[in-house]
Amino acid sequence: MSSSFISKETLNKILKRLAAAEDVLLLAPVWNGKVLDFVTVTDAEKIVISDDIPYKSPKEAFMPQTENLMTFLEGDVLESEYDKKTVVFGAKPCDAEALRVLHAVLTDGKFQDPFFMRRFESSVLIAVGCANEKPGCFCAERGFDRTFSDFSDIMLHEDEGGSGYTVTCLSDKGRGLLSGFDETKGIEAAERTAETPAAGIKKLELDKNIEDRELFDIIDWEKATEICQGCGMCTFICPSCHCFDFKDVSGFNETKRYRCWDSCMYPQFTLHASGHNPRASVKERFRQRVLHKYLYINKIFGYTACTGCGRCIRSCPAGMNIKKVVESIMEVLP
Amino acid sequence: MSFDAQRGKIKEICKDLLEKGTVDTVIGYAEGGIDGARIPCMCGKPEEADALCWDQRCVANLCTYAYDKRDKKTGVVAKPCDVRGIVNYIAENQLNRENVYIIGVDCEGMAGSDGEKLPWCAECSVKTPPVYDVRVENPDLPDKSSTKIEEPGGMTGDFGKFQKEIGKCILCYSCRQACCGCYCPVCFMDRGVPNWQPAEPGQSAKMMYHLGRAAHLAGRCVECGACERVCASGVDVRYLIREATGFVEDMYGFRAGFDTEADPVMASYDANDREIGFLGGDDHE
Amino acid sequence: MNNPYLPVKTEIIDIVQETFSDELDVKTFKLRAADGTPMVFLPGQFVEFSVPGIGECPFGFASSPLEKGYYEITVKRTGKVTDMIHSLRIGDFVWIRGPFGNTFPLEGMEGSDLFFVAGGLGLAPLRPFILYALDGQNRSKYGKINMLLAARTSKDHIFAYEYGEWKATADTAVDLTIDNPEPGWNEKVGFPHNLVKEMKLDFSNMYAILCGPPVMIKAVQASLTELGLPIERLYTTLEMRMTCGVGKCGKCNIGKQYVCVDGPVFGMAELAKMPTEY
Repeated sequence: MSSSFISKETLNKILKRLAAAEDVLLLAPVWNGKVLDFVTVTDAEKIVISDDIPYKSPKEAFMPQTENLMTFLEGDVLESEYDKKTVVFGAKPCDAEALRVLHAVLTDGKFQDPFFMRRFESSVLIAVGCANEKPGCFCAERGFDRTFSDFSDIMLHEDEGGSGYTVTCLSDKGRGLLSGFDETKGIEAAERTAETPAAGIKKLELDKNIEDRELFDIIDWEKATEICQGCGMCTFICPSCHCFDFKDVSGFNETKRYRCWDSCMYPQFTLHASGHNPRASVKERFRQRVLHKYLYINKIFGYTACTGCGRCIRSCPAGMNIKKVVESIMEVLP
Repeated sequence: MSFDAQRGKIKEICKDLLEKGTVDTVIGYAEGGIDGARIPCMCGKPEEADALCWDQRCVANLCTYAYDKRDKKTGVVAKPCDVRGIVNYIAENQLNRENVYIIGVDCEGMAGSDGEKLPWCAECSVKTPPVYDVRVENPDLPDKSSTKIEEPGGMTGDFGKFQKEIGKCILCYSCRQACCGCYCPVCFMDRGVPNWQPAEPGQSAKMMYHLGRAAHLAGRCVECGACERVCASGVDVRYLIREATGFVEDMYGFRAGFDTEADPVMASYDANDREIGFLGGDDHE
Repeated sequence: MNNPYLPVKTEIIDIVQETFSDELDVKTFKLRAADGTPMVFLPGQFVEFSVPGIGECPFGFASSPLEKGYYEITVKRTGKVTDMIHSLRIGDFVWIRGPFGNTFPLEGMEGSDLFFVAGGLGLAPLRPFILYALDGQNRSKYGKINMLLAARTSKDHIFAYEYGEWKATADTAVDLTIDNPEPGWNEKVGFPHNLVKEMKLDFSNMYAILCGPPVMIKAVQASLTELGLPIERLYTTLEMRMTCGVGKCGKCNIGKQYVCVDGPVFGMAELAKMPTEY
């Protein structure tokens, strides 16, 4: 057995320790009633390692649904404090790739988002490669290796015998975490890189050189969105959706400003105070969701903000399918 | 077996409606979902009706689409719960009876991807459409139709259970969007003035939303289970509404979605109505 | 790390009621950071203005960028946040972050005539540029300056108390117009897109800067194009919901642009290529 091997027993021991540590938040997949959730874990026994994809994505660890940013108190403003370390365990390679997109959007360019940065810098992402695709998954079509992503800090890959995992460390954060435990001190992480998906799979992406407006009537968006109910669940569970809103909550003598997830699928998202709404119907809002992911972010940051995790397809109440929509665009493009 | 027989009949009816121009669109089910689930399908031409399916995976409630298309003549392949939703729209003056052609389909209940009957279907007591323009019968259907809820199955007073259930909610509002009773142009939760929503989506906002929605659905829920079916977070949304539905039936003997002429119970006043509620009645339970 | 979301405590040092009617209630707020740090900005840029507990709203600068002691924003009462802002008084403290966004191509336009067309509140975001160009040290950099300032009624012109001074500047013309004739009104009457055709301007070396209601911008643009002004010489400034101001929140995204970073000033040629989702 190579020294890059970690047995399931050892892994469980480490997870238990992380779950019990007071200064560390451990996020992992856990069954919550009927659904596989991604939550803070205190009982490591409950952690689920499987190809099942939690309905929620690990973006919660880097950009929570609600986050206090600052407090206005007695004529002063105080930035919220954050001193936690987070270990995200059991993310999928597609989730790690989505984090790459979040990282680019929130930290590239003229302004950096300090609230994302502090969480990103103090967290370790441990991803576990998938053995099989689940219904709705399309990471291969998106050009990703379902067993590996180098944007994770530590990558685990189930050993063929099934008794443990091959470990690959991809960052100093990952190496730091492993060297902190006696059991894993001597571990020599394996060298690995992502494999390109098998030939014959047509990559699902849109050419950056297309003019934004060209895609506005290239397919019948009305028809493509007629069954969409406009609920916005797809954006909340998406690992790379990141749009947000600020909200103030006033207490007795202080006001807290929160950042909350928002969604381009909600009519209020773009509604002006005057009552004018640039994206008034579901057709326009869904088109924005697809093109923002596949074209605009790609043009600005060089990544497509969809990694093929399939969450939105599996959870959509109506059966909307972003993959089919992008395929239908690709079909009619010259 | 019976699904197969009904399927042929449904296709035939829909084709005919579109050929004769009785309706502009037919809303039914087609293949294309994950794990064999059927997805809503809108047909505007007779040949498109060939794509329609009917089996135990036609889980969605289609009446919200009929509401979206309320300005046009629309045919709907409607299970009894879908029919009740449409009847409710008509009773509440949201939909013209003339604009909707109800293809009422007898339904023995729908199943999940595992083949198990869906919980709300298992509890359902309305197996035949109460109102229809044409009915697609299922002769094998065990006759269990009644207009009385068999098991209200509420959770009265269990605040812990309530807190736990709504704790899972992520306030994506998909239950509202899928619900045929939730058709307000702007939901109370989305209003800026007055602002009902506590600013941060914490437990208090979830409580406000779920209690507000349950109150608004009192005497209006058609028990289709859409709210719980669409919930990605697995919240037992129905139990709250069931409580309200059971209460209204107990108090006023009313159940929504059976009579297009019935006055909506919470919107009509009768001097003989029983007095109860937060003012302190004595005759409930 | 510099936190772009953290606002600066700012004092309201003066308030001017610009117009007052049921439809149009506009006030201009004169502001200065509580610690006296001057706001360094360029015409076209904007700030995020917070009243804790009520919310945050973007407003374009409305004062001269050359004025270091204070800056101004002009606010129309329309909703929850602006209602609250209108109830503020001199000496109250608010929270401001900025400046954000891009600016008019001030240098690129040097040597040319300028034509400002503003409708109603649309004059506010153009005022920094107007005051910058009219300033003694800059006036010679630009050719003739024309302004067509439209408002619904004679009472709705904002900054009306300054027009006299603007008119008195060399080689500068200010035309006012209202929608319908009113007794005692001696200036123009009618919509800007019709009036520009009657104004007999020289379009050979001119930049036109438009701001106002979307319908007005579209109509004036069509008229100016008809009159022979190339689209590359037309500029405007867009209004969108901008929550973060730094290109992260996604609200002001139109195509590959974030209005808060790549705008709010856009050339019409560029706008013509963008999706019309504004």
